[in-house]
Amino acid sequence: MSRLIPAVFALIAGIASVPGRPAVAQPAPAQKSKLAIEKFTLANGLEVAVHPFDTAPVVTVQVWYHAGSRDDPRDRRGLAHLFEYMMGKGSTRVRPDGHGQMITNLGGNVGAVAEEDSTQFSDTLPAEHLDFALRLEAERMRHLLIRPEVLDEAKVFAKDKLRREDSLLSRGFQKTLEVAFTKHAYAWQRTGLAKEIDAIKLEDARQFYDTYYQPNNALLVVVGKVTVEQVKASAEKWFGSIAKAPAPPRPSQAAPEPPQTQKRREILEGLGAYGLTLVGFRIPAAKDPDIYALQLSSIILGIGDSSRLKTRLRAEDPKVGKGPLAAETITEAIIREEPGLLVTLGVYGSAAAADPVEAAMLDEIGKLAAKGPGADELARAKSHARASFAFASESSQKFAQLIGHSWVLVGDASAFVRDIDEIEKVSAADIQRVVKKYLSPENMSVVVLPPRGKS
Amino acid sequence: MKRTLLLILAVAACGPPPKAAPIPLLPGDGDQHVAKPATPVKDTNDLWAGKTDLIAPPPAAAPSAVALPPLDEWKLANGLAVHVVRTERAPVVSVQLAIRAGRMHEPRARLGVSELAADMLVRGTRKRDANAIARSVDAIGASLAADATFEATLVSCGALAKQLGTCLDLVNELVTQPTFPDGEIAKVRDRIVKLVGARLTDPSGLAAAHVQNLLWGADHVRGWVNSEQSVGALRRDDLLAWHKQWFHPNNALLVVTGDVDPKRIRAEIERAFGGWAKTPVAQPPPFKEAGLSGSRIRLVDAPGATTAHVRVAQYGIKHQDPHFFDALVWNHALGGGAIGSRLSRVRIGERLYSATTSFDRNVDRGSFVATAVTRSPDAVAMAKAIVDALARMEKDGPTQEEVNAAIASITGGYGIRFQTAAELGSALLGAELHDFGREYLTNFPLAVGKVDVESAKRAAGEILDAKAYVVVIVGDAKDLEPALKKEGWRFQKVSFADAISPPAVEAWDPKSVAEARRLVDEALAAKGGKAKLAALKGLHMVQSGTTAGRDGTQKLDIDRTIIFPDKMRIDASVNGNKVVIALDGKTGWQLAPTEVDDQGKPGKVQLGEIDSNPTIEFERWREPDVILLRASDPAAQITIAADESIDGNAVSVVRMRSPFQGVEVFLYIDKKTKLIRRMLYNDHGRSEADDFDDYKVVGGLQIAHKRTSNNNGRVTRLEVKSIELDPKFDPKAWVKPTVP
Repeated sequence: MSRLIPAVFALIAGIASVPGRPAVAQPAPAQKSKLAIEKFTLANGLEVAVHPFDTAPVVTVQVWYHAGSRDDPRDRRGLAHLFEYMMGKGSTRVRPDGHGQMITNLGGNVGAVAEEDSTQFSDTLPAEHLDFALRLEAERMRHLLIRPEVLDEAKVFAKDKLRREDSLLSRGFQKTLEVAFTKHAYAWQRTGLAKEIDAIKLEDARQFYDTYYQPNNALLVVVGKVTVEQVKASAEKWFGSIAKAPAPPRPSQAAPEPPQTQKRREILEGLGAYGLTLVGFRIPAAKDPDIYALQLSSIILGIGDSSRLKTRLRAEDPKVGKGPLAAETITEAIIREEPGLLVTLGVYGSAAAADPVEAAMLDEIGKLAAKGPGADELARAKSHARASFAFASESSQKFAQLIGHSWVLVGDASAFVRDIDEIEKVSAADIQRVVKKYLSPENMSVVVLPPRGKS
Repeated sequence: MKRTLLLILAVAACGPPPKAAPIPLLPGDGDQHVAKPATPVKDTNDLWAGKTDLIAPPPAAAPSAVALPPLDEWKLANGLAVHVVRTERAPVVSVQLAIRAGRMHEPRARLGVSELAADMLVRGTRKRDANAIARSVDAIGASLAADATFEATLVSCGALAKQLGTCLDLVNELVTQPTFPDGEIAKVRDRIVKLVGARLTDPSGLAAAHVQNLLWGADHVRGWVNSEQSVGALRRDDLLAWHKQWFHPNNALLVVTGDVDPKRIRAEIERAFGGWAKTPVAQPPPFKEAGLSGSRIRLVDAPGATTAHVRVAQYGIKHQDPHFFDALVWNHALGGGAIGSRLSRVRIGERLYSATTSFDRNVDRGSFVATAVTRSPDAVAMAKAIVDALARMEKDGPTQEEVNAAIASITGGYGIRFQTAAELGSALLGAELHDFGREYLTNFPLAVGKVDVESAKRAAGEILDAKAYVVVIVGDAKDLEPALKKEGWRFQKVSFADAISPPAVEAWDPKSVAEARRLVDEALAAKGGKAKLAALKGLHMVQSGTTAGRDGTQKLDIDRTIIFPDKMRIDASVNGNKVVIALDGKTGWQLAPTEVDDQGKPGKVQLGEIDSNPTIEFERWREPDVILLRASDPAAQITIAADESIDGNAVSVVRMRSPFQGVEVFLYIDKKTKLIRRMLYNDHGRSEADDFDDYKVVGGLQIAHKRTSNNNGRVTRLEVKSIELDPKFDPKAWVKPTVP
């Protein structure tokens, strides 16, 4: 589903490539079996999802920890993200960087991504080394050495990333989150805040690790040229002896976001050379059945060159002189385990464009609410969803990600396969209904960043 | 030449508005976009020393052939070579077409044409404009892309399997019916020009360009470096000629991979591509390697840089060379394998750095390049460490352990690459472009697995030569020169701002030149006659209007006196802020407020000197009312460009090289009135234009009373309030005041 996410959005700190809920066409029975996912759970609570496929002699092993920036302590925002770095920096039986080096030396590659709801670690390597990859992952699940110098390096790494990702877009997005989420942990991005990163102590990191990096808070995903039996044997061999831990706390669930009752609007002056207007709408959690229609709504509105917002905002507008009304517009439904946000934004050069851009965005949303989508629009959106899923299912890494995200978002590693039918079932009336219900003025948070030095 | 000018001088002359001063954005100017040296690794107590239970990696499996699905290959009657591989993993297809037309085919005077032409393929065909193409792709959730590489232009389409027909049609339409519309060319060219500019101010991009230029020299395509000017000079005719020369089925390869229907695929491809007509194709231009006798070192001075970008390069190896696989192995041991290679840990003083090495996989030898970034004081030592490592590899080759590790890593990673239909397709395309066929992909691990210590050593000895290499260091010369001198290295020093490849000057067709001269003569007659214009001693013009940019609209009043040949005084007011500029011969002065601050308020008025520079010289040279005199000079370099239209009026276009390096001026002459409607300046690819209207006769000369300048979003409109020819003037007006 990553193709659904416009490339520009990847620039924004905090919008990790959360795929939302993918969809494909109603599959033929043979196709369904191509997507078969075998699931089992070890005695210690570690869930395992296996998807054997033999296109290439490759296996991707991923461990997903149900711990993301949402779980950061309120005065240590950015803590979960540090594990992206620290998890590769040495454990009882593996030297710093040894995990990555050993995989790379076998021709493979490794990755780590911390997001809002989860943190994932990934190894892709020749399939015959499945057992070795599982051994390495089991090792760092419970034997990571969180040393002072590693924590210091991780802080430098995290703050460097904050600096690199700092942009007008990132600031505008951050502000939109803060305006939309007054209580909930989705108000901050995964990279956290520099001053709170500085305040993180060794004890904080160790406690977080012991709380969340536990088998009963993790999913092991294996996709590739393997058999379920091989995975079962190796998982049992390396993870089986790890003790079950108490269920981790969920601070974010103790701070649910109160319902929004009226439009919120904020202006941030003097930040950038260009103007930016963001409009966010609170949407339900990934489990809500309305999510399918909302996802298609976001495609109809702003994803793809013929989407409504791209067509409207890129058209010439006499109010702002020659040239398009906005230089770019991006839309995405940011679907999370807890209620998320559908964001649409416009980028423009002149201060005079700010009001027309905002008005055009709201007008297009209003039109969709009033009349619903055309048949061709709905078909286009479904084609996008189908194609995105089909492409994501081609590679072991991407398919493993679909499985992991499904587990994080709805608590079921194979649920996304069933979403296939659900997206197909969405009707024009469904689209109209969810746009009316969620993309409404009282559910809206607008943040305007006019170009610098202009009133 | 970079024309940078005070706002007021620019708008006063109705010329291009100012650009930011050319501040070198280089390392040390901030750390946002700057590659940094490797973080020094601290020596800490080794907690793992002596441990016996450390997890050890498993032995790598013996290299084995990659199992690929069956391949169907054939040629259409028009010569198009087709390769189809059916994969069933997902219901998707990938269509990839390669035309043998890439950077290596570009004429010296058309650098950048392959990239511009490729980018333009999706910007309009005989059936669809750019938006319609984008909409067609969007409607089916497909992806469509075109790009140019060194060897070929690649067009690809990925879509759901049931959309194969649409994908084939789109790819065919792009390569057989592109229209290269002018409006789109301007946009795409501007974007590439900006990219090229960014590449050549980025220290890493600059180092990469210089090292190729130094290695291959001025007479080899690999030594030529695209500049803003070379790309900016490309026009529609160039793209049409490029397309006509190379885009033929007998010069192309088509690869289709994915969930295709084996029963229907041949017919579908025949339907889509069968009508593409075969045409004889010329051989690509041959280039001779200049050879390296001894070593050459170039220091690219980037004042203020705190980091240095180091490149060491030699000639590489042809892909078809039997020692190619041996070279893969020794390169992995030297610096190609990111982790654990010899150059992955280079200690210089207290610090630990790394360098990487790579060579191109090409039909010709290409380059072998080592790359590193260090603190400036360590750069020369780093270059030396790289050369030493090359020398050791040349002499001794890799060790048995290094060979084993390289084979494990290279062959282990090979299969990982072909998971998706698009990945398999591009691997196949790459192999076919080099005439290898699918056996290359299947047997690649086996071929690498055959490399042994002896063969790798032999290959290293043949390719590497520690006595003949080139070194480029981009950094602050004041930090680097002492170390270079201390090493006794002789080096060439250039500035970061110097052009790397001198612009190619192309001979214009004599017929076109004659036609341009005729147009200029007609325009001169319409203006009022050459004699009358040549007799003009000066002009005094009062204008008022507005200038509108991203910072809003400002009122503008200008009082301008020009006394030929070289006196100019401008008294202007922008939103009430007064500015005076006086130029006299090679010197001048200005009174102007300091820069506007964040709140929009100008600073206090300051008196400043203006030294003669090419910018000011150019402004005098291109004075619109006498530009036709310049164009009618027998020494003027002029030719014609394609006719265009302005506001529905047909215009002839005269293209003129200015005496200012790289700057061209295009005169748009109304076909009816023979008066100049537009002057377009092309400065290193950046185009700026002045439009002229409302001509009235003043003292026997046609003078435009309305001028509109349009540049980069800033629109300046001026109307003439009064004009005086051969004005009386007070020489004191050019004397520099003592008190601001």
